[in-house]
Amino acid sequence: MNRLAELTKGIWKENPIFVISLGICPTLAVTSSMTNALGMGIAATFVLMGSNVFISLIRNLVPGKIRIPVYIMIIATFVTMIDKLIAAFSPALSASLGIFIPLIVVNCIILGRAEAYASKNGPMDSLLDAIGMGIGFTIALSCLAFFRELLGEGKLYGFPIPFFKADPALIMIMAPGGFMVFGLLIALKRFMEAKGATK
Amino acid sequence: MKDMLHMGLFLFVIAAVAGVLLAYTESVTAPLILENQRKAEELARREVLPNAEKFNESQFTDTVASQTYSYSTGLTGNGEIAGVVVKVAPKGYAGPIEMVVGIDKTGKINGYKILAQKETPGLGTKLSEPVFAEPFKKLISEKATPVLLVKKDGGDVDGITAATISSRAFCKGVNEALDLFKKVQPQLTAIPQALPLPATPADTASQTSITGGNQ
Repeated sequence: MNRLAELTKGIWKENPIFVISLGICPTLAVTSSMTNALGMGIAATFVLMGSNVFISLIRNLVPGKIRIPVYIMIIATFVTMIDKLIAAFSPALSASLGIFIPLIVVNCIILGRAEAYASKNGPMDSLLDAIGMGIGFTIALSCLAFFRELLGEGKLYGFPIPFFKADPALIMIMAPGGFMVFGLLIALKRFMEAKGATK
Repeated sequence: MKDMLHMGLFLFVIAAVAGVLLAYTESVTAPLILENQRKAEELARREVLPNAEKFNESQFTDTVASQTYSYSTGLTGNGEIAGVVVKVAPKGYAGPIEMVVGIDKTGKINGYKILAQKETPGLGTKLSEPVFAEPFKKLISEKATPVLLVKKDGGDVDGITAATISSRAFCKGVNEALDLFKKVQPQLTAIPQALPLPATPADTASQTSITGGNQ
């Protein structure tokens, strides 16, 4: 039961985007289409799993005062190696995910989870935390991208949607649209939680 | 004091391990990545000049401006010159738009392909999508001498709504390629097909290194 909670907390209760508000910069950048959101979500989930487990394993060796530089170095090394390996051995995957991987180095969710969770918990719990956070991140990105791509381009995953295709509002796929959808979705989540609490 | 030594040493070890790992990864992957980029470019060249079966790296030195340009000459199966493929990188909205333009031997544009771009997703990136590519293809196949400027600037090219800078950059790139073709045209007809310069490894290396910065 406890283990299950580690996994599911990232999806709703501690959603990395809507609750912890980490990784907003890549979030706004990639949510202009569902395809990009999914690519970024998957890439970030795998990196998060790797970094969380590794940092959890060495958590007792790292001197507390210098843990942040150590984590940054580990994450940057890890991400760069993955980036190079994908580009070398799977050019097709690199063409679709490649642009997100450099963005992940600066994604605060990875460092945030290393600091807030993996440095204090065992590898198994850290892996579950990473999977949950990764899924939560992917879902949140997809929610944002759903509205932005539908309203801004009249498409979903690149396929035209009849009614919305006629006159899409370009602003939605640009930065201001991203902020608007982001704000409204946070408000919606808070509203649903507040309603749940009063009942 | 002991604490400081310990921390320093720890950071040193981590950095050393990271350095070794990265250096090793780089040494293993760098040649493969170059090879992949070369393949992608080769595919792009075939796409923009379908008549050609073989490509040779060629160079042209402009004696007036004392500048050297590289392009590839496409040869058909029986060794005739099919046309040239020129790589250009006009400055777009958010960085260079790297693209190849295929021009047949009569100086007609055969096709183009965007290799790398950093334009606004959903706006400038439409350069590589049918919504822009189809009307452009139609224009170059129907009109003998189209004016390659966006309509806003008095040309024939139907630019992308809300991405005029990207559209203008595209036109600039195509015109650059055409200009170079005009310069090398005498060279093409004067030199018989007997001079297929083999692409030396050095040539390929320098060629691909240009495509390197596509992030």
